[in-house]
Amino acid sequence: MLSFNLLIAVALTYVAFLFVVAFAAERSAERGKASWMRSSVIYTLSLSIYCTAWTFYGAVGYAARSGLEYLTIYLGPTIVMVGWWWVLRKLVRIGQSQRITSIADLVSSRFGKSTALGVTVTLLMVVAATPYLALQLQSVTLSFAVFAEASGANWMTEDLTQAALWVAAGLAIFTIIFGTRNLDANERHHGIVMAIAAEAVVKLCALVAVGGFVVWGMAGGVSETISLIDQSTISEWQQSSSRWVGLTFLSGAAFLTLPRMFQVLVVENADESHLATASWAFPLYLLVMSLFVVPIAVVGLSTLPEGANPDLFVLTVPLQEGRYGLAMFSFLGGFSSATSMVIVATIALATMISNHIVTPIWLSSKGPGAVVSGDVRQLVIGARRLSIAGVLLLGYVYYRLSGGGEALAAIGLISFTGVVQVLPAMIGGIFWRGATRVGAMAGILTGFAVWAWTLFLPSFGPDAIIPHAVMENGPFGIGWLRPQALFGIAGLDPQVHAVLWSMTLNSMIFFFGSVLSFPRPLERLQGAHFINIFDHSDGAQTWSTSNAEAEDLLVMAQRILGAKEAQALFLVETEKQGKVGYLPEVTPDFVQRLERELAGSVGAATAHAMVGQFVQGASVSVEDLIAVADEAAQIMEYSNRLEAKSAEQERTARQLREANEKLMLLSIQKDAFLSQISHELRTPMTSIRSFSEILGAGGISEEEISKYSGIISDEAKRLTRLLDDLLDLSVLENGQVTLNMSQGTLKQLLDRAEAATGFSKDRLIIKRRGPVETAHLFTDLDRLTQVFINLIANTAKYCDADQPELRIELRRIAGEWVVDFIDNGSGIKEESQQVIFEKFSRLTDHRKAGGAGLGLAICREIMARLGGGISYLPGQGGAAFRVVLPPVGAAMGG
Amino acid sequence: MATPLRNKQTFLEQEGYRRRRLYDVARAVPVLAAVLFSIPLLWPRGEQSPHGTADAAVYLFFIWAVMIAVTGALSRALGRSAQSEDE
Repeated sequence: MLSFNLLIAVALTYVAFLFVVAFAAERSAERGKASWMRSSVIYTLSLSIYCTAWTFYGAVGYAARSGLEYLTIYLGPTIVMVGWWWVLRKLVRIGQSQRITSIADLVSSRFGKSTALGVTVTLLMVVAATPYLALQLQSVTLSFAVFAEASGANWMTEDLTQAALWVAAGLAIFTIIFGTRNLDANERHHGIVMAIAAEAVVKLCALVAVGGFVVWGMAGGVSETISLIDQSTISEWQQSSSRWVGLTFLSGAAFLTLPRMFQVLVVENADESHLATASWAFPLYLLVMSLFVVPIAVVGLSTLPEGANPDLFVLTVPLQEGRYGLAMFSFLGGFSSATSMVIVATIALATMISNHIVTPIWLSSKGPGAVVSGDVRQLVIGARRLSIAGVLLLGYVYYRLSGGGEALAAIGLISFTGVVQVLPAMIGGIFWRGATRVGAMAGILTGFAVWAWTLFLPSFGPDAIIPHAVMENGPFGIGWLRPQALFGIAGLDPQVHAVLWSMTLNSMIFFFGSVLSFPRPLERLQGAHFINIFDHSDGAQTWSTSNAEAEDLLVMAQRILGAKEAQALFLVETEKQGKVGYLPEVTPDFVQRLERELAGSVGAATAHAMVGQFVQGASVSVEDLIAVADEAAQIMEYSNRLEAKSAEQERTARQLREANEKLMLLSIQKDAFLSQISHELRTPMTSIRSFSEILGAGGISEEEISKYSGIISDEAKRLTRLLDDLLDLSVLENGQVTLNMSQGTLKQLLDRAEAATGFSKDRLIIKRRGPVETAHLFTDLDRLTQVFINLIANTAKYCDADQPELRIELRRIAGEWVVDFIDNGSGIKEESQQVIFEKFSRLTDHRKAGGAGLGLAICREIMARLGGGISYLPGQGGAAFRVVLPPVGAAMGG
Repeated sequence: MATPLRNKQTFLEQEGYRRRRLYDVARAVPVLAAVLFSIPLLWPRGEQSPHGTADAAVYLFFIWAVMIAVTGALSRALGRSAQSEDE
């Protein structure tokens, strides 16, 4: 006899195993060994979340009741997969080039980044998916109950609901840990994907094991199994044609529109070639999954007592035969099917809720024109975590309310019919240019209403929501509105009736709504881009005039993408424009790219709204609209060529302009410097001369002699220091310097620099972050320390905060160690940032500064000699300098 | 010099033509699959029918396997042609 506690122990061990798999996958992805996890095999296996507990348990029950009709659920997706060249390839390409995060994002992005559409699709998906999540919880608790019964304990309803609660909580924890590690939905969730791939293997093996046992262990071979089918109650071929065609269509459509399928098919796709492999490998997986369903059903029907629940044959047949190990394996298979589906479905729904409902509400609560503040990243991740818990709670509540009695397959089909209401807008959106936002919105709402009226609400049972009288005679006695006989056409199967009418009305309203309405410019642009995705993958520009400051954009981007990623993005862009530093020119092209990058994290509509806060003015110009018109294709071709030529010129011109500006500023500063240096030289000279004259005249006391000669000596030292600096710089610039290479750690250097500057706590607080202790260097340590001393001393001199504070952060960016020096003052103005590293440049006239404006110029020369670099880092709040440490062994002696 | 050039052009054109027909086949496969999966609906129903559930199952799984094989071969061919397009 199988002890129930053993089963619990096995289930817990299995869950622990999943945690280990997910952790190991995340770890090796962090170490950069993720390439094999991006293989087409893993992609195909991750698609298997299509096969939920409904498939695992329900298919056998379905076959026991209606024969081969269960196959339609797999034939639909098979047709979609073998036809990948039509639809899936286009969807994946659009998903990659537009950085789509969910199906709601796809629809919203296609129809002009509409927030309203995103919200509608999200709500529709949540409503349709909740019963499905409840179904998974139900299947797990039912399978627990089967084992509890087999071990002698009879479970009450309270026990079942308690088990469901524990399962839901466990799934929430797993999903939150591994599903919200990164914000960008286009980055793959390695841990989750690996865990799901492992579960895909487990459920396939489990079903095949039970099937093999039934065919060869019980029936006695293939031909005996076939004759057993012929003798069974489902031997006759009585398939209804309308249900067969209707359900095949439904499952194929749902395969494309289910949020969780869209997540694994499109969002988590890393490479288009994986789709080519999955096009045959996934149908093969489905074939094997469904191969043994009928044998298990007929053997169950013939051996188990009358009235046994056919939905649980997969468990009860091995149990009946005393194969407890097999039953246990089969239980794990069902458990895998349920958990993997719930995990991905909650991630997909949570992404939609956080991107399309929470963030837009938060943005609009800020009021128009308000600049984004606070850490958006934390907000979105927090919203996503809450949504995961919320979605699971919703599933649990539905399970409690519904009582969990219905046959499994019914809920699955109801949910499918709900989600396919997005299909007309989606397919129309990627193949038909005339599709508009108004049409899509009207179509989806109509389909949603018809689905709710004809299928979803009646599914709660007679008199539960829709009174019996309304079912019989229609609302207010209007006969042609009867939920299961719209327009007076009675006699159709309710499921087929709902699919037929909801899809027909949905498509018609979508079509006429689109034809009669007029799209906004942004919709036309996005439409042209989606439909011609294979012709030009970079798309038309959506921002024409931009008054945005690059620094504001950087501040915003850092809050969403994270500081490191945003800086890297800006750096690449500046280099592409032929400039230096972190602030590129705000071209429409750049704003477009930035918006797409943000869309990968928070969805297209939100990203558009956020960028719109900074970029004022008309968002689409006449030139952009030319790109939309078909007739203009040739003009575009020609102008593209011109553009390529002028881009080069523009870059040169930009460099020249920049150089010119720099020269102008320097010339002004040089004049200022000359007058200042003569002043600097004259003051000590004057005092030296006058005091030496006094000394020469004689007749003064001993005390005064020592005082005057002290002054003369001090002034002479000041002169020497000034001349030393000038000499140092000229030596460095001419490359005549000799480097004394030695080993040391960054900590030693910083300690030395702090000691040398010797500021007390009330003058300057210094904080360090990052693995400073362990960073080893091999370079000229004295020179590097000189740079650090200079930066710390500068902060003490120029930082204008009441309580100056300097953060020294060590981090690794693109294979290089960098040290950031960031203070809490008011920073340096953008126009000044370009000249601070030049000789003689001084931003303030403070006498207290006391230098001649050579410090940073010397720093830059030293870093260049050492093979590293130093630059100003904008957008950090205060003044910030980034020192790129020299790579080991790269310093060039002079 | 003119002859080899013309030969090469004919060859390229033919290759491009073949590739486009390959795309047509790829588009036709799902239609074919949908039709073949619906064939059993044409069979007579009920007790007098010469075909039962077992026959339908054997037929459907056979067609299914054929479709998988065809798609597998096609996806390899499409992968190769995409590669030669890049070159």
